[in-house]
Amino acid sequence: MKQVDVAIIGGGPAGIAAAIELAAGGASLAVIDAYPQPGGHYFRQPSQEFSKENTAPSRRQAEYTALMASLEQLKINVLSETAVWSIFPAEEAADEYVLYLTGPHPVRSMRARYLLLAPGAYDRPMAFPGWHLPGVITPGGAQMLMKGHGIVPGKRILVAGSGPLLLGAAAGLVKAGAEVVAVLDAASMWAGTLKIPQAFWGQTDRLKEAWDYGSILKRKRVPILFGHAIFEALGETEVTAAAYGRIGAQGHPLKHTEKVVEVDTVCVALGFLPNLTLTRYLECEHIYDPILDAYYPQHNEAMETTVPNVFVAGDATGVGGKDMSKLQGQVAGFAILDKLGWLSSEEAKRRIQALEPKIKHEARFISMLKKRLQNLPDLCELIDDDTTVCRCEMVTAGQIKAAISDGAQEIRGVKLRTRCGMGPCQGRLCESNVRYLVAQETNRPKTEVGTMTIRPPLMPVLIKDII
Amino acid sequence: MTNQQKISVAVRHKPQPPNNQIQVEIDGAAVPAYRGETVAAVLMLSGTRVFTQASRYNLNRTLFCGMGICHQCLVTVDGVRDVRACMTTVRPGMKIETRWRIDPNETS
Repeated sequence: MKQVDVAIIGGGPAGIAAAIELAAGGASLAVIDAYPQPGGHYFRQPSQEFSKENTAPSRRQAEYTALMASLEQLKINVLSETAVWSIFPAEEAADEYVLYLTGPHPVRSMRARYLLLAPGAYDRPMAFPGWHLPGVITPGGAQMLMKGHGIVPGKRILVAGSGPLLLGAAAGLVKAGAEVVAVLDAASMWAGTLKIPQAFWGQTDRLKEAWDYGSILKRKRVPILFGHAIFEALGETEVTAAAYGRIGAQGHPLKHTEKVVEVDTVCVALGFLPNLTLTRYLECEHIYDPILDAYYPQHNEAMETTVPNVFVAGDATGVGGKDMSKLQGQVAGFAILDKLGWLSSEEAKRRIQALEPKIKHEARFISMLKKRLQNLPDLCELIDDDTTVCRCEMVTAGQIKAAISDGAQEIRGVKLRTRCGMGPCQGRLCESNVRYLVAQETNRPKTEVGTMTIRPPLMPVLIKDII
Repeated sequence: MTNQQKISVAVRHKPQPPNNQIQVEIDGAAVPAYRGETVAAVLMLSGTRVFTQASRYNLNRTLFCGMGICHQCLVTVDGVRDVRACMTTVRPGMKIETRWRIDPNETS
């Protein structure tokens, strides 16, 4: 069986940064990545065939090229289009791991002494009436089409949600030639706006980015409606229109303000959820962040989780963007080199400390974002009894509420009664909304209603690949 | 599925190099595609936005997260069911079938 010092799961900015430090430091490693090319979402690459004609030179592209050159130079082994479907402790050594892989490569399993989990984050699913209709897409889905293939998902698009993704998503769609009929932001205009200058101090590159998005939208006269949300995506088999209007301070739709607009696509942006499949499966402890309304894996300053030899880095630890992900990857790299004995503890500490000023700079921006997200209307208020909450098993909010009346007091109870979370996505899309419903119906805090249990296979795998 | 002319709301905003063109099959019909594209992209462009039709539950599935997380974009590829269209790259001659899970004429 293939044996490495470190298995890095996730080939995005965090995974790559760690790989570079680890390889340069003498560790043997493998990077396991689900996509055809490494880079994650930030560096989402057009397919190699497409990019020859269509990649505009840019700072991001130059950075990517440099990173790929480093991977090549350090002979870092990247297993692309590969997923980990289970991890077990090694039989001979309890603190080592055996990973089982599925993908086009002949490598079926691998042993590693250390794991670095850098699986990133995904778009937080925003449930509302009609959200299951073809035509409702996330910024991630839109990006896959636009960045990956130069395809714009629709012609007339409504962008709705809240959080920092909204403007960028709308601007991207406008640049790709779509007509964005409006951007609906659940936040009130002044929510956190007064706190922005304080946090943007020194963040001129980000300020410029936000300014650019605003300019693109202004030029095309795209209305940005604060304190608004989508009420329903309308259509028989796919989106043909959307109902929207103002929401109250708690997030509930103010029906008397409802308007209907013809659109073929609705892009819903509600921020990110960290990908917790691996950390939950390995039984790492998680901490709930009440502002971001999500759990994150607990880790120390060296990026080690509560499970020995398991490290985390990147957006899965709390969405902080590419630069923070890269820094965390480097920190984890140094910490693991220390454990392997390839770096002295003093040297590892010195290198980690050298990154502190940059980490602080990134952390300030994250804290600004959090301030803006405080006291936002809860868009879960848009869910009505007929809204599908578990898309895989087609379970509605009404059915979930019935399960709770029937005696379910935790997410697990809802799952057992309704099959919520038992479908292919294994709760990734529904857990946050089921948590909201259980907490609300049982009048308890979100931290007391449990979680979805994760069991292998962690990713779909054919039986012939297991045997 | 009827063979009416499909209108696509998704459009290309950056052209593909013509020598990258290949051909795939969607529900038995030949459809042009380009090397490196995902099955989801080709489906969207061909006017097939509904990947799964489950009329009985008033639920239709499609591309949603684009990242391999949500599993809503499942289609049948070369006879293998439940393949994520957003994570699968097209190959020449690939047979793609959108999934009619429940017969739309079923009344029960």
